[in-house]
Amino acid sequence: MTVAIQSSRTSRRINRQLWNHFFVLVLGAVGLLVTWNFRQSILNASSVYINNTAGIRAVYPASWLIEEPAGAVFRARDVRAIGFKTTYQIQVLPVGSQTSQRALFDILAIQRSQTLAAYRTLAIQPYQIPANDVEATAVLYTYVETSLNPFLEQVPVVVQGLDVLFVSRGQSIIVTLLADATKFDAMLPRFETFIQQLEY
Amino acid sequence: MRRKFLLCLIGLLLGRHTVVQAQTGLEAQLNRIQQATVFIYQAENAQDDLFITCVASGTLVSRSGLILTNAHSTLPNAACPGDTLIIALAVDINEPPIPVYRAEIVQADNGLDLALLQISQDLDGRRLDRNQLSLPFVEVADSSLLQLDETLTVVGYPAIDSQPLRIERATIVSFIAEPLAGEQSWIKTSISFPATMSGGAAYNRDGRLVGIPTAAPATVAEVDSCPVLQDTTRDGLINANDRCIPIGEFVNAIRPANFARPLLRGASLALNVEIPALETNPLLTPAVDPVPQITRLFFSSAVNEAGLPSTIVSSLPTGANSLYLFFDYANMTPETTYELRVSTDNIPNSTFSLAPVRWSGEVRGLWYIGATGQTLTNGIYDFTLFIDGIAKATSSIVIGGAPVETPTLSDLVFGLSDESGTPLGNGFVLPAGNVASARFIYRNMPEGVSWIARWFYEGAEVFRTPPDSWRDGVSGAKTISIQDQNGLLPGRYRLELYLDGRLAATSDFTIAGEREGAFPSVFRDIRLTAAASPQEAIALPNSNSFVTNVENIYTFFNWSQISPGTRVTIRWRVDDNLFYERHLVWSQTLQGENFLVTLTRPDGLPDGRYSIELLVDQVVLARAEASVGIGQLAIDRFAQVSGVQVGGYILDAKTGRGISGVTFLLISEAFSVEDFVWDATQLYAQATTDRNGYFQLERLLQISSEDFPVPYSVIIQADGYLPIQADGFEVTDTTANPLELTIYLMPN
Repeated sequence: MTVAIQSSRTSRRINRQLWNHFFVLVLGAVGLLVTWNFRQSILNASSVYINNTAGIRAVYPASWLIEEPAGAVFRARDVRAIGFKTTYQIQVLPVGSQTSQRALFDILAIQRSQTLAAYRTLAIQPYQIPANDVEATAVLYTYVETSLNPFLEQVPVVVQGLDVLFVSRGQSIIVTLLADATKFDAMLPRFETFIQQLEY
Repeated sequence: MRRKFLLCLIGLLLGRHTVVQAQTGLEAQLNRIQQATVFIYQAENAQDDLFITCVASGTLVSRSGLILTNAHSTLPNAACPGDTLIIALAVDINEPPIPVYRAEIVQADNGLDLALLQISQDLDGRRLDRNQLSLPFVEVADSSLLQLDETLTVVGYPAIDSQPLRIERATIVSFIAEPLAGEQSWIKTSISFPATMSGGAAYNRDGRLVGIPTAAPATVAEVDSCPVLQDTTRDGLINANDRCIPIGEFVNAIRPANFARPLLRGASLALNVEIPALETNPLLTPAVDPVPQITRLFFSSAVNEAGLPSTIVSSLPTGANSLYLFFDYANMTPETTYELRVSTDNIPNSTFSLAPVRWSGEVRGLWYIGATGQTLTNGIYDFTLFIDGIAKATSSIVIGGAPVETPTLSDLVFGLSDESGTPLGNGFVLPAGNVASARFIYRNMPEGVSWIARWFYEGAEVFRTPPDSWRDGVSGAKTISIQDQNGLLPGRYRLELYLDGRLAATSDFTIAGEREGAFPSVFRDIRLTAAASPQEAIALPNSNSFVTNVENIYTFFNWSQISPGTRVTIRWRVDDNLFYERHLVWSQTLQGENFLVTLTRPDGLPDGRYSIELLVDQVVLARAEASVGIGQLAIDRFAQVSGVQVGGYILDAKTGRGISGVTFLLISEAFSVEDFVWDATQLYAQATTDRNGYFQLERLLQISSEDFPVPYSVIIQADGYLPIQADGFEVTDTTANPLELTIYLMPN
């Protein structure tokens, strides 16, 4: 009898320990999940940019530095990035009735080749913006970024860029991603989300 | 942990403040001055090679890359034929400069020997957006405030062969006067500098640019000052057959910075003035006889407001402190080199001498060179003028002894006489008519002394009074006239008065325009208009206001009775600051309509109050004014040149190595870290570290004080490191300048 009682107690203890272990594992997993989720929410936190004059609303990563430089409606830079600062940019250009998207890219390429070192167009291809079902054109290009400050020992950076161009309300909108060529592919998914959330 | 690093940063900054000495004026600016000093190579493209043709020093005077330097070594000319300008900067101020950029000329004045260059391309030819540049620059000061015996700091590159820049201290020993700018046309210094420092800069005690050391270029024939550096003949040898680089010997004359201010203002605002008649009428640039001439040397003890001699002297008493050498010149060009050598009792007198410099006058006319406010020691002064290295004329004057009361005629002015015989008008420009009067002062005149008056028109004598004996008393004022029943022709006149055959007084005047009371009406119906083209603008009435970003302002005016050869000056000002001055030798018809002057900027004229002035012989005869936009120039928030330059290293706390590509954000004093919403307009400055972890803020920090606190905030965030944020980052007048920080980031 005594043995049976001991056995029952032992069994309960073992069960409890099992449950405890299981609970700890589950708690750990949930903790990891929450932490991962928290990290992701921080990493993917976003802010909203609205420009009523240009008729643009964009959702961009939080803690990116925004500016409205000459020649662009909006620019956001990831100033926390080590090295080249990943950049989103929106430009609005007037288009003529006979101006094709391809011609606009040629003009842009000619202009950029004057100011960007080693500018090369890598590819031009159709691009679909699912959210608005808009036919756009994308051009992939590269250039070398050099520091304008002669007093710094800055090593030039190879930058890869992607322009997505579409025409809306008689004006062409160019949405640009610029990133260090080695990090470009990693930056692309979030940029595509940026384009899909863009309202114009 | 974050608090620890915050305190660490603040402690670091405060700690820095306690160990430095207070720096003021030039001392505080010296690092920036050195960084702003550039070396300029003028080069010539030849069969895909670049051959250096000339060199000079220069100084950055704007953050967007405007460089002030000499014209003779940058503008293409016979001695310096290059067409490419390479800009080298001292990346390390203790090392020779390194070629970094290419530049182009945006403003230049051959006569003044000043040029403004704009950095426009990277060294490899890639075009740069000048608005993206953020280069160290210096402020140009008002050079008219300089005083004798003031100490200047002259900065420039001493040699062509890889030497770091040189800083020389010199004292102002004299100011040389010329017609172009009156008493301060040149600054003379106690020591001379290497000729490659020509084009550099001289600074006052506040560290502001007050002058540009200027020397005439050496000719290729002067081998000693013309080193050979490249195998330009491509024969595999570097020898005398190869082209050398003319450098010159030394500099001891400094062109005051006030000459450069209009050029700088015009260039920084990118304003252009076009005068179509200059392009279509070649007579405006008269043909030049190749042989320069210097004649009729005489001395005067003073110069009047028109740049003409007041009193001709042949000697001066002990204690005289003002002396001017006048002479007539002809066939001079902006490329002509002239030099004045003065000796006192046969000993060279460097105080009053002028080293070879470019000619800054017209083709022909009356010129003077002299000094005032500097006591002349007793002795016989010999003045010798050299043109292109050849002695052309000499004149002497004796200084010393007691004042002698010699017969004197002085202070000639011209006009139309009223009933009492007093000439009315502006003194030196008279309207066309039958008569012109001259009034002069006479002193110590003995009865019966012989005198005559000779009148000249365009260099030819047209009337001479018969020799007469003086009968007007010992002293007083006298008026004489010249008449012509057919009317005096418009043009340049001269009156010479002689006493006993000696030139006693002389002055020039101009007849131009129609009579309007006692004054000439030379320029009429001046009107400012804006339209798509001059053809459309010509029919429009005058307007005194234009919309923001108007691209062109067309100025039309009619003219009457202006003789070809008359010296006309056109000036433009914005907000009362001169930015354009052009001297023309008039060669239009005697009268006409709609002379066009266009003020233009392709991307629109900046808001401001613009005015145009038309002058004959330095007398303003017409003026018009209009405002663009709000009628006031915008303040350039980046134009600040006083403050503390901040830079430093951002290092990995574990490895101690510099972290490349980290951004240092400095938030404006109006916001704190808490207020910062990652909007670039809230930033005062930002910088990114280089491969060594070194950064340099693009703007100077304003000095904070108890009365005017300027608390900035700092944010440093980098992926993989704990962030640093701090409010209340201030620099005071005891802060080191430049302030070098060392900041450690802890890996996350």
